Amino acid sequence: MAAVGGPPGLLEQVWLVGRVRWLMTRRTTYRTVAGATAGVVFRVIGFAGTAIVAAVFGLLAYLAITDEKRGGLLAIYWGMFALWQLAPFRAIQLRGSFDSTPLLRFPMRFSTLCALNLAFGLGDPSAIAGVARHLAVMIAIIIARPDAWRAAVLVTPLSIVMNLFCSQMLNTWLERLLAQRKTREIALALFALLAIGLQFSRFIAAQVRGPATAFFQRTYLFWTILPPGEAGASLNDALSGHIGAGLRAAGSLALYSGAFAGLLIWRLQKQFRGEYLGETAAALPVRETLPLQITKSREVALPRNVHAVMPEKLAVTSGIFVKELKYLRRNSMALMNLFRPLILVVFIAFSWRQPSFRDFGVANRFAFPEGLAFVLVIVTAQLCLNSLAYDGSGVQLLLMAPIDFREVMLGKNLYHAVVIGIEIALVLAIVWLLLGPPGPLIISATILGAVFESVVLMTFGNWRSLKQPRALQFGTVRAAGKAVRTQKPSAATRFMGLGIIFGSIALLAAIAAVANWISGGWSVLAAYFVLDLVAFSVYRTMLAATSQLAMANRDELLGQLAR
Amino acid sequence: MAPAIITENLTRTFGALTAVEGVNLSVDGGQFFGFLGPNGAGKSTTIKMLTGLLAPTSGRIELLGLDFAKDPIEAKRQIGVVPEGLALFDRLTGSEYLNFVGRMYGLDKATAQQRSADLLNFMDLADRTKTLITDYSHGMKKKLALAAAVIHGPKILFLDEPFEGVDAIAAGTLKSMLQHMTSRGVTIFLTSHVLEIVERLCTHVAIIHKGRIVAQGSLDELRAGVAANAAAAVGAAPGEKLTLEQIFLAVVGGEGTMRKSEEELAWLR
Repeated sequence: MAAVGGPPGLLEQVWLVGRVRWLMTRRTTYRTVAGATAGVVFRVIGFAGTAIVAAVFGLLAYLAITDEKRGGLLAIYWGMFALWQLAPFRAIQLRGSFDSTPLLRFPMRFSTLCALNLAFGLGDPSAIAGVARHLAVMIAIIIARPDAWRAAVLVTPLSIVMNLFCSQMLNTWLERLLAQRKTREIALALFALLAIGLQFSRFIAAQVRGPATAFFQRTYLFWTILPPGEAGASLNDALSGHIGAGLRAAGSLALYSGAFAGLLIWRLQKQFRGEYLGETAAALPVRETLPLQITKSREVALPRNVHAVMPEKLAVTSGIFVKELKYLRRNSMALMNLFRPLILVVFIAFSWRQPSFRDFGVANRFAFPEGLAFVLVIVTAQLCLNSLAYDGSGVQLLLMAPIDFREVMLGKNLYHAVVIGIEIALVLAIVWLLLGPPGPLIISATILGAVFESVVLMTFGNWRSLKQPRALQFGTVRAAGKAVRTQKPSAATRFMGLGIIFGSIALLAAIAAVANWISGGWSVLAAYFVLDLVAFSVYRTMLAATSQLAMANRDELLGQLAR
Repeated sequence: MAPAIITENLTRTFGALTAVEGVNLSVDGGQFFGFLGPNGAGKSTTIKMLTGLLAPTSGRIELLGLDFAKDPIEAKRQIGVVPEGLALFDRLTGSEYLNFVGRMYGLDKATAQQRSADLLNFMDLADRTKTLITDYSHGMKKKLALAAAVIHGPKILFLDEPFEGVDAIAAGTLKSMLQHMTSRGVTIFLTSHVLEIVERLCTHVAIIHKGRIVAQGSLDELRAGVAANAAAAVGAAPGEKLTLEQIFLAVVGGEGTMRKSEEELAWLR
């Protein structure tokens, strides 16, 4: 055997892995001219955004010192901590963190694995932004109080190191926790709820501002003894001339960093020893071999040929319908996305509760169509435009089975109709409970309008689902093997779909206005009913062509879904 | 016996690339037929065309006397397939999946349920009632895909690498099941890179190379052909019974490649 040199040094290994990571990123982002342009634009915007946010933090720190607000620096360090530590949770959703497990097969020392982990943690955009914010705050402190430069120069790197160890520790522990599919899906659902909460942070803040302020004032001491609080407290003490207390707080910060580093090293050691986090081991415990059972199983009669029966049409359609319902029940992310818009309906209903609207008696009349339009825009687009997304390689079965593909799409559309029906009922219930009954005319017209919009989008969605399908993985929001921005349907489908949704809603609104103006409210119902009949007729015609379309697009379906 | 599978000038192109060109196959009913070829030779493309997953650019496919292009649904009813990607719905349990497939192939509910239970028991998967397919091991997925392929009692079975990732015990059970099926008149069309398996199971073989059929016949016919023309090239002694591996290498020219790689990678020694 030819002689083989020793393993490369630590720096060389970090460089090699860094280069591979860069190549992977580049080849994902810069594969096309459009992708390259978008990548450059994205980076420029990201850089500018980072600089602006850092400057804002610096300005806040300057004002906190010059206005002598003791809680100011504390809040700033907590804010920087929260922004930095959110990154590992964001990585759950996007699966964007760098997996070091494949590297373990190389002759790598444990110290190299630790160095790689920290190097990539520090190279992460969120960490770069975190460092920028820390530096901006440090500069602001030095400008505001030049005499405190020693404290600023001491606390800043300590806080950066603490944040880095903490985020990497969270990353590795989250990786451990989220290795199981169920945990991952629950975490995603919680993350989605958090995202909704953030969307309404202003609304929520307005509701809880008073009690929250009182709570923070009462628990001020508690916030100062946690890691970001120690950083702020150390600086506050130094600014007040209490050097000893400041050094003690800085020492506590270093101890926290040490504790986070210890937890990180503990996890990395497990990884280094080849810990297996896959799902199969947990799902399939080792069983005792039962020879008798094997003998018995071999004796089971195999099915004899039965060719007398053709699949009943209802059997295929109902089979697909039941399968879709099971898939929905097992896909927490899809389930969450379907019912998330209802929370927005609650907020819409609240906004209509203002006395000015109630006095005119328009709240309950307009909230139902507005809320339902909002829900349908999100739900129908999500359901119909890429309806084969979760079938994956199962689409092969649908193409190989002796069935008419039209029945498959009919089963899917039936499932869409049931979900949309439930959404309509829930929106109506929310509006009814919060604002009172919208009245029979509004209810009937809104439902007829919703039927039109849904049927139109199902017709379009069936075509696009077969023409340009995109695979989606359970428990993630991204397309299989694709970058995040290409999630869900293709860009063209999304664009056209949104055009159709808004076009349908605009048409419904225009018809309502004209019919109402010409001959009163009830004529709207007649007009919408005719519109529904037309939509159903087009749907039926298009559905009949579905099988031919599916066969003609087999290559695309298999290429996209069954890779 | 009448041919179960006939292809005439089957051709498939992808843009400028011709993956399969002028393939003529004839497989008799009840035959255990091995379809071999090096990587990228056109095996999977051919199977995809034979099972309706890919439209041929030109040529004709006949299954049990049915023209696939004219009567695809009737033709599909006669076949069972374990395709390359296994065609599983991974968020169903094994039992739910088999029931679903049974219903798709026209079995009534009770029959589908009965056969699902039988097959899960046979494949030693019966105790995973609540486990989703996504949590199955690769070998278990293979067994489930095979169970799904036979649930409707097909007359022709297409198997793309059916034993890859399956343990020796399960592979033995599956092999005896497949042999039992051929004895009942079912035609099995199998691709595998494990030539020992093909040699042990198959009575007839076709070899595809660069999209064209380069050899076709019974194992004895292929042996005789290679022995007469190229036995020395694969290092076989006169009168020695050639293995399928030697036949394969003689037909697709693997010997030269082996020697070349040994020379080029001398540092491995």
